Amino acid sequence: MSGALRRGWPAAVALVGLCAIWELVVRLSGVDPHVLPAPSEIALSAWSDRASLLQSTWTTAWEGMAGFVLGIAVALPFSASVAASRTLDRAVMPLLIISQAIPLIAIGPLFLIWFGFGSLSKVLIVAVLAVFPIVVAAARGLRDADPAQQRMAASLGASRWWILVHVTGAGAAPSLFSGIRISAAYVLGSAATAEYLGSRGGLGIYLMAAQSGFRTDLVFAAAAVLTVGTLLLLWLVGVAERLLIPSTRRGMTQ
Amino acid sequence: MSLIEAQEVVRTFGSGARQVQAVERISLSVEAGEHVSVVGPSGCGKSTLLDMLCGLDSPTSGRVLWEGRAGSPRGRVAALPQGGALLGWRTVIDNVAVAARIAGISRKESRARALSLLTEFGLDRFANHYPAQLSGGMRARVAFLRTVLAGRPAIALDEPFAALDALTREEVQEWLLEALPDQTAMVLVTHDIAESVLLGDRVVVLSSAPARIVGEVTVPEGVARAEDRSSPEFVRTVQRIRDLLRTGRRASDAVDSNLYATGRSQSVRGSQPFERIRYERIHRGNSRG
Repeated sequence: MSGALRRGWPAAVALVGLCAIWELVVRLSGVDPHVLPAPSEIALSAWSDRASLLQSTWTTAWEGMAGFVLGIAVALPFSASVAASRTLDRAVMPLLIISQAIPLIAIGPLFLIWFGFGSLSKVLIVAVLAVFPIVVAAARGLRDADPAQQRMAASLGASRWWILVHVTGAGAAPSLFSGIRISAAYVLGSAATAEYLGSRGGLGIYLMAAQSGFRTDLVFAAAAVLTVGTLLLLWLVGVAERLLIPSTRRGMTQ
Repeated sequence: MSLIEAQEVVRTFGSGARQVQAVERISLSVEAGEHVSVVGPSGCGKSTLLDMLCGLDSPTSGRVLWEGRAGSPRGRVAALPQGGALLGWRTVIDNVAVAARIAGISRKESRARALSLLTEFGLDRFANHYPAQLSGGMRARVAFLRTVLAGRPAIALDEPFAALDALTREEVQEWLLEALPDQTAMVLVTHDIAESVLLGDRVVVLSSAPARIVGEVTVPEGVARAEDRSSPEFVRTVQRIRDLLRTGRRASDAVDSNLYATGRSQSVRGSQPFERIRYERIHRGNSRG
């Protein structure tokens, strides 16, 4: 913990300093709070609107996490098949790239038409966007596996499945996590944007309502919640990685 | 009846104009408990031959018999590939226990067996180290103990000490003579002549690619499995093998000049995970003479 403190304090000081300057500038210049509210005002408004803000956060967090988990679950077998077969790689990768090239603004309405305004359409949108970075990174990790390790295990009579799980899969874990980390950074943002396109609740709708009511303070509050949530998710991914992968692997050359 | 018997095995890679032959009609047998060294120039197809003897690769023609019966020896010959193939994310004890885990033995029991073997060889204090924390010589020892603990009737070593410095290599070679159970058959592929004599009962000499047998030398009684590198018998045996290697080299020089490597290293890896030999990248040039 003291290590995290030692590494984290410059960022914390910078953040607090920035907020202080922001607060001062707003107060001294007398700028209209509808244009730029002070951090203290944002915090107060967020607190007084906490019931609605928390409920929206819960909706978005749930949709985002469900989509994220679904995305990982779909990406794992995809990566294994793409890494195992060149033909499959050539068949599937262009489709995945297309799925990434279609902007959310276009895919969103389609999913709303197909899966309705409820949570399902958001979960699926988040999942579709999460799959690609994970497949690319994990498949690369699997392909970079040391063939000698596979030969060793095969000579001892290991099944293909055993080798996939305990040799190539375990070896590709750091790459898999680098893909998961990239996806994690977009999960809550994708969920909120999907909600913005059409939904019954969530931070996307909260943002839309705040904007149309000229509640700039609440727009900032929702933005802060999304940011903190994303940082929390990235931290969780880091914790999972540290639990699953021994520290000596990071930076290991041979 | 031989433990492993290769009958006129041929292995070619690719097809059509890009076809390259790695192994050319080799017949070779290994008796139970016998140590056979295979020497040949770098890239001659030794590793391909070894893969076929382990059942990791199938000959294009010819066949490999196990105890006289056709069928893959896969699972019966524990392979020790170049570099040791230790799993970097597992500790020493879990690396040594791999064979038992593959056999479906519980984690606890596998680790207990691994630990007693490590203790027997004085390596137990490294049990919880990761491979990256060990010296090259120590990694080679751990990889070898993993192969021994597999308890298979035969083991196949592919240049096991190529990455070690000369002094460490000699130490580990001598250590290996002690560590190898007498009843285990061994096929050792190497380009180190002294190593082939030191560790083998019999040395098979291969030509440059495509590999074929140039000759065979029986290591004299008293030299085989002994540690004396300076006896006249040892030196004479090394000399005989060196002569055979030279013969094999000269015969294929004409072919060598028509071979050159092209292609990218990336393209080969993923599609054929069990092939270490880079024959796919070698193309036969348009010969002008």
